Amino acid sequence: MGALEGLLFGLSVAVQPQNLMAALAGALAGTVIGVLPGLGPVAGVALVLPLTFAFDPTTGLIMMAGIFYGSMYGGSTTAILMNIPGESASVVTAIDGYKLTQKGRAGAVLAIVAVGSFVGATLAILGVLFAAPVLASVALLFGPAEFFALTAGGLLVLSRISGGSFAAAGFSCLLGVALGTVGQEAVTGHNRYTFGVLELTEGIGLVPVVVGLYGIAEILSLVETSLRRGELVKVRFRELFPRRDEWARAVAPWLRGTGVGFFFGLIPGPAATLASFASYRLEQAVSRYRAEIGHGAIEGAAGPETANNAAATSALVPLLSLGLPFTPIGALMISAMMVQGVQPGPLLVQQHPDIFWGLIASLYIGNVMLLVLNLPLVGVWVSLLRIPVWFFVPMLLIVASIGAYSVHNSMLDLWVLAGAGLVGYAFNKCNIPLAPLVVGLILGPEVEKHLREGLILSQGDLLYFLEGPIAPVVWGAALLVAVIGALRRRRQPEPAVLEG
Amino acid sequence: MNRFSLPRRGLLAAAAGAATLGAASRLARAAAWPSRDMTFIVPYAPGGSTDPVSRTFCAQLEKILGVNIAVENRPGGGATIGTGAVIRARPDGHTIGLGSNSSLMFQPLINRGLAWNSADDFTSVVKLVDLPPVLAVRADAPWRSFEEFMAHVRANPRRVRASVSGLRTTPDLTIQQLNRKAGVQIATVPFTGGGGEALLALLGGRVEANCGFGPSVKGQVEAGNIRILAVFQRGRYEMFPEAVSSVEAGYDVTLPAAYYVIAPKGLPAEVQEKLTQTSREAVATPEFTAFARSNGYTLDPKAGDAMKAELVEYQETFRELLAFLNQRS
Amino acid sequence: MAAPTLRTGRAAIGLLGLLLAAAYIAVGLELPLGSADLPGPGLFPLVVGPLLALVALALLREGWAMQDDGTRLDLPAGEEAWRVVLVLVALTLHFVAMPWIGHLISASLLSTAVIRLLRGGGWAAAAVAGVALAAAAEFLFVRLLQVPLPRGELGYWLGM
Repeated sequence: MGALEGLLFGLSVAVQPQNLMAALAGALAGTVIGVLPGLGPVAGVALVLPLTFAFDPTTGLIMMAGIFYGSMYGGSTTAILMNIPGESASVVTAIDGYKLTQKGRAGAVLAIVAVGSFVGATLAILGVLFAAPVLASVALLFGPAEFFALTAGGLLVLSRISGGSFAAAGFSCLLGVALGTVGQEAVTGHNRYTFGVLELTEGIGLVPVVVGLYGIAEILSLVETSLRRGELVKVRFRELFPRRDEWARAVAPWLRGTGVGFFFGLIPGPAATLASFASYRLEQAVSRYRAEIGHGAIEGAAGPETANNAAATSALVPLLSLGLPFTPIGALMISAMMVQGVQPGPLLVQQHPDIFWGLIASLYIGNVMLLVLNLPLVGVWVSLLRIPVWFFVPMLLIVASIGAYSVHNSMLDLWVLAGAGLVGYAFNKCNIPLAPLVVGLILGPEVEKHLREGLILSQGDLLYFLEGPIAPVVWGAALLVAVIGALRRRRQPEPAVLEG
Repeated sequence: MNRFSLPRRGLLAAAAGAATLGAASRLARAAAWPSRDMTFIVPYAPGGSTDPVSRTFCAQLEKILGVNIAVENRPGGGATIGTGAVIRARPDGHTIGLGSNSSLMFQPLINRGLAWNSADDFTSVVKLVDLPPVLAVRADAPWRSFEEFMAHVRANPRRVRASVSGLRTTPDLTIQQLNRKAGVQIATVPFTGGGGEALLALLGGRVEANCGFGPSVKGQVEAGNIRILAVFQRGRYEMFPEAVSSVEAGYDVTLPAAYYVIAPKGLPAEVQEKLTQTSREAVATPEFTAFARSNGYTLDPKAGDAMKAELVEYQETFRELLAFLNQRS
Repeated sequence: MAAPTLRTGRAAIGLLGLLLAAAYIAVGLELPLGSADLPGPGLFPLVVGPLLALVALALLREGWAMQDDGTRLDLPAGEEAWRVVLVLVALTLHFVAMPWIGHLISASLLSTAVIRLLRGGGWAAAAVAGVALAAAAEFLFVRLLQVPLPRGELGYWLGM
């Protein structure tokens, strides 16, 4: 079956009433879950996993995909409106998104991000459709040496992503890397820095750290200034939709974000988060408006949010064609298929064309639904800013705590949440950027893992890490970007921190 | 004993009634187990093979007992966090959970300060399934059979690498057991990520072999990218009937990932009896056996003392294996 | 009461970071290093620790060398500082109490206290809003989304 026939067949599967309902229910539930800080795509899909066992496999997967996309759409909402990213993939969106909200452009950013998410996911679906068999082998090209180059190089390039002085950004980043070493080590299972606390073996969770650093810290500063202001941000409500020039400026970042996201999705790893960071970095480097990025440029929100949706889509390529899960969500989807007696793998397309093509087609339908759903919701989300501070503070404290707790059902994550909140509050006061800490916490464990795997695989040969065409090229590119960035910055003595 | 005929609604109402009586009814409740919804703790994250097997079992047990069973994932610490939560729970039969031979018997050997040291520290309820490890090589590898592979390994000590899903996981321990019993030296390369990366290393030609589990390699086998040389169990494996059994090939290496249902120790006798009896029924339902078959699990029904005896045996095997590993390094 | 300058703040965080790095290295030294072909869990911390110490030192030096232009940290003072501390205390108590009295009751108390603190007015009105908020959260997360929040010893004794 060719791609076009496949898509038509898929559409005929996806428009069956129960599948349409599943997509809609998933999209709606996903949007709500995504908007709540701390509850991201993983939590959303995990929550509905048991439900999907009751449906036929196609319907169950379509519902999961709907939740997944819905929460990706919703995750950026609080980042833009309140500087509180609901998950790590929206951290960079908060930088410019929140600045724009403060300028009264909240509605415009939300609309541009919704359309960007649609563009990214739709183009990526087309890419998956026509190139999946070729692209599947991309994952095979990446071994420990290539992953090490990508993650260590990424750490180098992304650590200065949100400004700040060398020492401030470096400290934040390395603190993240150090926190990433806490817990049971991935390869040997040895416990590090756990001091006998069993719950710490699972490591310092990304969700409680992100929600604490941004959410709790933001709450504390709200509490502090609540006497001075009655509502969250003074918003002018007359302009809910983007101006013509804002639309025009968003097009290039959408396309670039799609490209970056699509590429990262093909490579096993935390694709959506990396893609959003990389897209932001790309905009800083190539956008015509790069001088404005960090101070409230539409590019800084449009690029990353497009990228993370494109990455989420193309991540289905290794999942469906290799049958290997590289993300928690992939593992959940494979688990859902296996319960139903469906074997993911290279033969999925032939053995279960209804699942493969139905899923692809319903991704498309789901995205149309989300766009239709989200544009009218922009007004609703913006009016969240009218919630009085005295109600908003306890509401967010409760929701953030539940979100942090629900990841592992662990009380420890609540203490991590509070601790991260204090660190975020202190760093904000001293102009130390927070985003590098998140980068370090995500990439640190990956760098170590691939370093150790490479050493074991090559039986201790360090030169192994420069073998092959891919690893040296990645290293070269990373060094180049880092050096150019450093030269550019030398003109300003103390770069400002780009966080709200 | 009218519990099987009582409709679910009635039982729920009865439970609600008991609840309003509060503390006074605490003793009465033990007799009428289960008097409220139950919790089943899975010491692993959702996704992977352990979550579905737990949920399928719970769905059957729910039907038999007529109460809701909430499945709760408590991952971490080599499954010791969730397992500890079950063992430390109130021994009233309302909290049970999943255990594996590795989490129950291997972890106490390498981790001090756990809530359990031996099979005496918890109640053995029922054995769910076995999942045997398989040895896979690339389709274009020169070895046509397990014998040829072993001959090559013997001639090239430490040169043949097998990717596994982590140090001291069941696949790693299986290869070490093979090293021990056959006197060979296969180097294991531990990867992470639930076996996905280990398989990717084989597909990408970075290692010579992979030791993993049937369900995750089946897709690649069917697509003709890899071949299964051996399965580490007694007798042929339904998922790959063409693969030779390690025992038939003359190597006594059988170390499956075995999954069990456990409960805290000290359950009231009648609760333990009923829990064991109903769990046995749940494992024997056509739904559960069909699930096990289609996912490459081997059924080996055992309950109570028979299950406990098997765990004691595993502990001995693990102890010997650890001694072998420590003396070699 | 004058707030400390940005200079002092930076230097203080640098100093804290340096102490943290020292402790990190000290604990890390006890981890097995392994060999080149089977690196142990101690290898990576031994790379990260010194680097962390280095940037902490750089941060300290930066604070030291920074021109004191009189930039003060925007620290809360007086009543504002009290509010931040009280909210933190309430959150801590919420986390401590949750395993015992269950999420519903604990969250009701937390939100009642915070609302009373931020809005003023009577306790009764704050309690109504607080309980409503906690109950809504309980309904959304526990009933609809099936998040297993702690019910607490109290919940157990009430048979919940």
